[in-house]
Amino acid sequence: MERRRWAFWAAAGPLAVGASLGLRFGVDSAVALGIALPAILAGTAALTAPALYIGAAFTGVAPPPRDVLTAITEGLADTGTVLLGLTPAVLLLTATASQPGTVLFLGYGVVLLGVAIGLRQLYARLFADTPGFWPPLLYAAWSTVGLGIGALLLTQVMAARGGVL
Amino acid sequence: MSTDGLSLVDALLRDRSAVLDRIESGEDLGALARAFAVTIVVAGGVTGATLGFHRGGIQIVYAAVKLPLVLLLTAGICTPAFTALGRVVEGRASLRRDAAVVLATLATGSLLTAATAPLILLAMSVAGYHALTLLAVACCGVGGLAGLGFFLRALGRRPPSGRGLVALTLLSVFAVVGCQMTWSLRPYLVRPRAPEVPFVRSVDGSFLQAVSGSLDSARGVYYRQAAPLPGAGR
Repeated sequence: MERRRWAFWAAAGPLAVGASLGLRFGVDSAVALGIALPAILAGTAALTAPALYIGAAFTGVAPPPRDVLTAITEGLADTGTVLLGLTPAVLLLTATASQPGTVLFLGYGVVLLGVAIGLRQLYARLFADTPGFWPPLLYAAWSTVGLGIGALLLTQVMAARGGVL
Repeated sequence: MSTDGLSLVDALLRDRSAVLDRIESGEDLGALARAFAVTIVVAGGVTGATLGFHRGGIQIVYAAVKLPLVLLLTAGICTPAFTALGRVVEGRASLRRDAAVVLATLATGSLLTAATAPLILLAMSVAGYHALTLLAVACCGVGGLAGLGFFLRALGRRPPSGRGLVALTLLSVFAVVGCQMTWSLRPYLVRPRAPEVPFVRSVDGSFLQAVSGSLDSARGVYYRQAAPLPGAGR
């Protein structure tokens, strides 16, 4: 039951923000980005989570695998919650900004903000009580790679929409 | 603390801790929120009408309606972000309490801005349009600072963990949404040579571009030959 609740929050926020951003460029783009954004966030997390666990386990700072999985799911739910809270602001900005470039810039900014807060919460859940330099070092490297993959996927989705987005 | 209008206005100006205590207790939040909303409508309406007085006529009504609308819509848009951040970072969420804090913040700001209305009226007789625009922005800035003080005081009562993050994020959201909403529902003053007085203008440019343009115009730097004359658009 708890996992279903997390899954709802993790999907609802990116879906709402993606659809709001895409709406500026038409219904097709709203549907495409509304589906793509949750998929990108979940896909990036699924793709990179094993690396975090392996790195943390190798350096002796990893919680049990089930706890890592739970923390990552909760982190995604946190990101989704923040994005859902920011959806009305995104709708206002996409409706009133005259330049498509401004909409994209704001969109990237909002998504980055939601992801950054989710990452912060994830770090607190995984490593808050773990001393030493490994946790922050490992986490910073993992986050950077994850953000890079996510940004790359998002850019490719936009390019696949024929550069309209 | 009573929730009747005048005693609430007095408490917002004199004893903000009591207002926050009342919000935190969660007692009769609906009545409190309504009283804050009425304060915003009245105080924002006074400021709007004062700005509209520069052009006169229907613009007095337009601006008196639009300025409270800006504040209430900003509250409606920013409150979900406030609650979402509270839920994620602090592990607590109450949309009703957060809405009351946001409305109280904007009510405090709109009261202080309304207090600068006489200064704006005085400036109308001695300053030009562009200087008046900048003065209006400065007066709203005074109200904004008062609101900011109240909001930070409210945040100061929350758990220390993540408080800075919540404050920084929310203030950014407030600033962007507030500026964009204000700019989207412009004009408030209306240029003296504007041919018509629209309720709202079409979407173009941005708030920051408008402030930069006003600074240039106040220094005598213009980017077009002449403003359109009244009747030219017909």
